[in-house]
Amino acid sequence: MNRNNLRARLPYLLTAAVLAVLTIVFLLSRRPVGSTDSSEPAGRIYVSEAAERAAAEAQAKIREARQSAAAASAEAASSGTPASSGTPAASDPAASPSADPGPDVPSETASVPPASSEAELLLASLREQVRTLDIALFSPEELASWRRRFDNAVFIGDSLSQAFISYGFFDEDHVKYKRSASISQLDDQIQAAIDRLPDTVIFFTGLNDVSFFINDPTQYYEAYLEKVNQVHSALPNAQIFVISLLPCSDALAASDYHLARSPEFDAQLKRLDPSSPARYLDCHWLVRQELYLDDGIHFTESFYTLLIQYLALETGL
Amino acid sequence: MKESRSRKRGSRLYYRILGGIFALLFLVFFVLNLVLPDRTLSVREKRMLSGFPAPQIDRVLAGDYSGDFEDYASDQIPFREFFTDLKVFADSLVGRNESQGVYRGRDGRLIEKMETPDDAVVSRTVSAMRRFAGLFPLPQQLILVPNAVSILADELPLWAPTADQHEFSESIAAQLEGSGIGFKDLETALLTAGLDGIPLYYRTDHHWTTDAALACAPAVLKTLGRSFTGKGSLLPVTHDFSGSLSAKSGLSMRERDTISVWQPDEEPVCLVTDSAGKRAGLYSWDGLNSSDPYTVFLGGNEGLVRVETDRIGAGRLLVFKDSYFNCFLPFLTAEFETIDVVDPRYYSGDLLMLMRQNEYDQILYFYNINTFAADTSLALVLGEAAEQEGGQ
Repeated sequence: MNRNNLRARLPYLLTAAVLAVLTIVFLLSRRPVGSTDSSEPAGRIYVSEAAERAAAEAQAKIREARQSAAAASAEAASSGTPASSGTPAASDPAASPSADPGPDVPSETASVPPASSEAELLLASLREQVRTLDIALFSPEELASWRRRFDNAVFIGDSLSQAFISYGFFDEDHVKYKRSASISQLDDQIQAAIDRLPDTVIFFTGLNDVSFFINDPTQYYEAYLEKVNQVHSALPNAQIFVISLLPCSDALAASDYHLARSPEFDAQLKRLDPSSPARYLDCHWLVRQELYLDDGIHFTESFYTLLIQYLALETGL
Repeated sequence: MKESRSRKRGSRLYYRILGGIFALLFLVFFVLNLVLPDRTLSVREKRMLSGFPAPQIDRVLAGDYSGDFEDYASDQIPFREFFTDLKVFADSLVGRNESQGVYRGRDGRLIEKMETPDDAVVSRTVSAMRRFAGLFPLPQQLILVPNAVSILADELPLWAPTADQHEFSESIAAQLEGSGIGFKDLETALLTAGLDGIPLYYRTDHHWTTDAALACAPAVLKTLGRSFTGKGSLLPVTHDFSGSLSAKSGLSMRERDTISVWQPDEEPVCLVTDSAGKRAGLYSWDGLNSSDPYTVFLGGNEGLVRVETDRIGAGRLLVFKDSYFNCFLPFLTAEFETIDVVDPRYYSGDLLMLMRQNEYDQILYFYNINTFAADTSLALVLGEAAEQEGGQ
C-alpha cells in the first residue's frame, strides 16, 4: 500500500523537485552582483563650485589665446609680412595643417577698437531712425552677426527680456527670463545666467517692480543692488549693465496712477551706477509712443532692433 | 474502498489548495497594485515607466485606452524586475537567445541586430546631405562606423538573421558619388584592430569602446586632412558599466563592462558648453555616478554642444553625429579651435542660423551604421535649413 502510495505521488514529487531545482537556479542567477545602480537619473545634475571655477579658468585662457592671436595677426598685417596663418599664436605646433589662414580670426576681437567716429555715425543713424520711425529690421545675415556679437552676453529679466526670444533675436541660452517677475524673484534666472559664464550680463526688467515695491522705491534699489552684487561676486570679470526702467505709454500712464510713478523707480535704478559694479544704461531716448504694443507696456520688434544696436555700442560688444 | 476515499479526500484538498493559491495570487496582486505607489523611472531599463492614463472619451472611443492601460499595468506590476528576470530565465531554458532585437552571442556578449534598412528613409537622408552640400560647399565627410553585428559576426548565434552592413555602406558610398561629400567606412580599421585583440565593443552596450575609437583615430583624422599624434593613454574609469543592450533585453544583467577614457599627454584647454552650462575639460565626470555611466562622454543627450579649445586658428568644425561620436570627440580637440556637435535627434535650434553665425571650415557626419540606416532626424534638420536657404 505504501509503495502504491509512493508510486501514485511520484509525478507530483518529481514535478516539485524539478520546480525546486529551477527555482534555486533562477534565484542564484539573479543574485545581485554588488548593487551599482544609483537612483540618480542620467546626465549631469549639478555643477560643483570647483568645476565652475575650472570652467571659468578655461574660458579665460581661451579668450587670452584668442586675443593674442588677434593681436599677432593684426601686427603681422600692419607690418606687411604675409602671415601664413594664425599659427604663431597657437600654443601648440601640433595644429599645423590649419585649414584657414587669418581672415576668420574672430571678428569680435578684431572689431574691439572701433573708430569712435564710426560709433558716432551709428548713434546718429539710430537717432535718425528713432526720429523718423523709419526703422530697418535685421536681415538674416545681420541677425546672425548680431547674435555672434552677443554670444558671450546673457540677458536677465521679465517679459521685456523675453521679447528678445519671442522676436527671434536671441535664444533661451542668452535670455533668462521669468514673466511678470520682480527683480527679487529672479534668483533661478540669475543662477542660470551665471552658469553660462558670460562676459556681459544685462538686466532688463520692466514695470512689475513698480507694483511690487509700491510702498518704498528705495527697496527696489536695494533688491537690484543685491542681485547685481550677486552676479559680480560670481563673475568678477563680467561687465554688468542695467537697462533703465522704461515708462509705460502716455495713454496708460494717464489711467494708471501706479505705473505713472515709474520715473521715481527709474531714479532709484540710476543710483546703481555710482554705487555698484553695474552700469546704468539710459535708453529713454529710444522710446516713442509709436513703438509701444497695444498694452502700453511692451515694445515692438522695431524698438528691440534699435535697442540691440545701441546696447552693442554701449557695451562694446 | 477506504483507500480510494482517502485518495479522493486528498485530491479534493489538493484542488482546494490549488484553487486557493490561484485566487490568492489575484487578490494579492490586486491589493499590491492598489497599495504600492507608481514608479516613474526604471533605473535598470533606463527609461520612464508609463503612468496611469487618465481616461479620455476620445481615446476610449478610438479603442486606444485599453492599450494605454495595458502599458501602465505591465510597467507598474509589483516585482517587475523579478518577472522580467523570470521570463529571460525561462527563455534561456528553451534555448531562446534573442530578446527585443538583441542577440546573446558566444560567451554572453550582447549584439544588437541590424534591421533591414528602409531604402526610402536612407535615400531621403542622403539626398538631404547632397542638397545641403550644394548650398554649403565646405569640405565635408561622412564617416560610418560598422556595428558589432558585422565586425563581430563570428560571435553571433548560428544562423542569426541580420542585414548586411558591408553592402549597406557600399550603397551609401555609391549614392554619395559626385556630391562633394567624402565617404569613409571604418570597417577595415576596426577589423585590423580586432585582429590585434583590441576589445572593440562593449559586451552589454551597443556602443564601440574608446579602444576602438583610438584604433580608428588615425584613419578619421587623415580623412579630415589632419594627422593624429596619438600621444596619450587610455584610462579605465569604471568597471561597473551595465549597458543599454542589457537594459533593453534583460539579458546578461550580471555582466559588467569597463569604460576607458582617452587622456592626451598634452591636454588642450577645453571649454564645453551645453544646455546645462559650461564646464572645463573633455569629460563630465558626474556622469560616472549616474545610472548611465556612458554619459561621461559629452554628458547626456544634447542637441548642440560647443567645444572651444585654445588651438586658435586651427579651424572650426561642425559635426552631425550620433552617440558613437561621443567617445571619439577627445581625439579631435587638439586639432580644432571650435567644434560644434549637433545631434539631430535632439536638436531643435535653427541650423541655418548656426551656419551663418559660425563660419565653419569643415563639416563631419559621424554615425554608426545601425543609426544611420534608420535615422530620419538628420534629413529633417538638413532639409529644414536647405528649404529656408533655398526659399530666399
